[in-house]
Amino acid sequence: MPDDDGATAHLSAERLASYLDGRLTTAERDLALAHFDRCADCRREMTEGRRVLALASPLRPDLVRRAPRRLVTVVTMAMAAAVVFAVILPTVRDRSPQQVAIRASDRLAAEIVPPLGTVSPPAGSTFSPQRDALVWRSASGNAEYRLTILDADGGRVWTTSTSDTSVALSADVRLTPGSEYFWSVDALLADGRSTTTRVHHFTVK
Amino acid sequence: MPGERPGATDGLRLNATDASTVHSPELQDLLHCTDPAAGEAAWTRLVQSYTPLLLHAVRSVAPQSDAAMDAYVYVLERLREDEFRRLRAFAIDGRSSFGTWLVVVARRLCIDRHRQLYGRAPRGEHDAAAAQAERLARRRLLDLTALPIEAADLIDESSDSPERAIRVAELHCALDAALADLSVADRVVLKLRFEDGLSAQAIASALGLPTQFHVYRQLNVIYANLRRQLAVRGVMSSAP
Repeated sequence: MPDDDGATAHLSAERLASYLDGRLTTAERDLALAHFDRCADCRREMTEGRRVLALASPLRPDLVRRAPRRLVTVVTMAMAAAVVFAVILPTVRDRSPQQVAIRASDRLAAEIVPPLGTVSPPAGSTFSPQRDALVWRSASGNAEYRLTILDADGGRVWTTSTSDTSVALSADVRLTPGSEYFWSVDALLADGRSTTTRVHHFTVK
Repeated sequence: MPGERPGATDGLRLNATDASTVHSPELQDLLHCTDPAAGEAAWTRLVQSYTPLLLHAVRSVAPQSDAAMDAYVYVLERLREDEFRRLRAFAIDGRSSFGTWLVVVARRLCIDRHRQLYGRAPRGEHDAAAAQAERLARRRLLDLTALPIEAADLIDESSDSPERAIRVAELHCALDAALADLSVADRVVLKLRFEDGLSAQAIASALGLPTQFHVYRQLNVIYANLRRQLAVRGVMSSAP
């Protein structure tokens, strides 16, 4: 790929990766955006790269190391990875590339997790913070859940983590009666896979 | 070669300062090895750690299982060649995280391989498809930003009259001028939405916005700006 001087030249891999990581200077980012404005191929590459990184985020050893979550989760993931690679993925030295690829295919097929289902409140219904709880279906295995509530402007109202599949709002969370809010739950499984409920909404009674 | 800066890999070995910019211990171990056996072991560890990420990256280019596995093997071979030349180039100049860089490089290698095997789409076909997509995208954007169509303004859509052709050209010209007055960031949002067909959530993710609702708000502001610009240019309806 050509170098990235100016907005007309395609972005180098390093420049695109830095853009995706948010590590460009303001001027560099402006140049990158100007190029995305002109080049549909690079724009598609950027959005696809972002999509892959979001999907594969729990599988990244570099992110897990730099921003460790709970010690239990990190240790569990490391143990799971060790077991998987000891059993499923032999060393590259001892196997032909084709055999390595076949084993890797088995692992990839096992990584897909169905979307997480919600139970209550039903989409678009009313919600009473004092009486009701937010409930969702359990993901397989020992999962950690992260609940996020947003207001209609997209501002984050409340977020909490739990190993349970329901949450009652904390007493200090103030929701405006009659207003619409949006909520979602992300689940991180013990083996490093993840899934989400996607975004649902309710109106406060 | 994808990811390469000319002259960036002239056999340089990492020093203590350079090592601080390399975030992956597996990569550090690999590039600091002087013993071939230790190097092989370090490469194996790096592959084991990053295989899940690499598989996601190659599957985004080659979804079909057999093709994905061939692409995976190809990527590993390319990363190894010339004594890990690409990895050394990242280690010297990498501002991004290693995982992100790896995804970008792996995808580019897969795309290049696909083109080597199957070639690009014939230029004529590519241009025709792109032109048609752009026409449809412009039509949708014009419909969204122009004021509601009055019945009296409706003209037979199947008509090939010169009058209609002129009016359509005028509409597109006005839209081009209005788009040119937008900021680069706003134009990118519109292109992601109308040319690339992304959802608001995907746009938010691509541009680093907190939620899809930020995208909706930005689009509403953009539509309002475009309506004003089109009105200044005499466009009050999207009907030709």
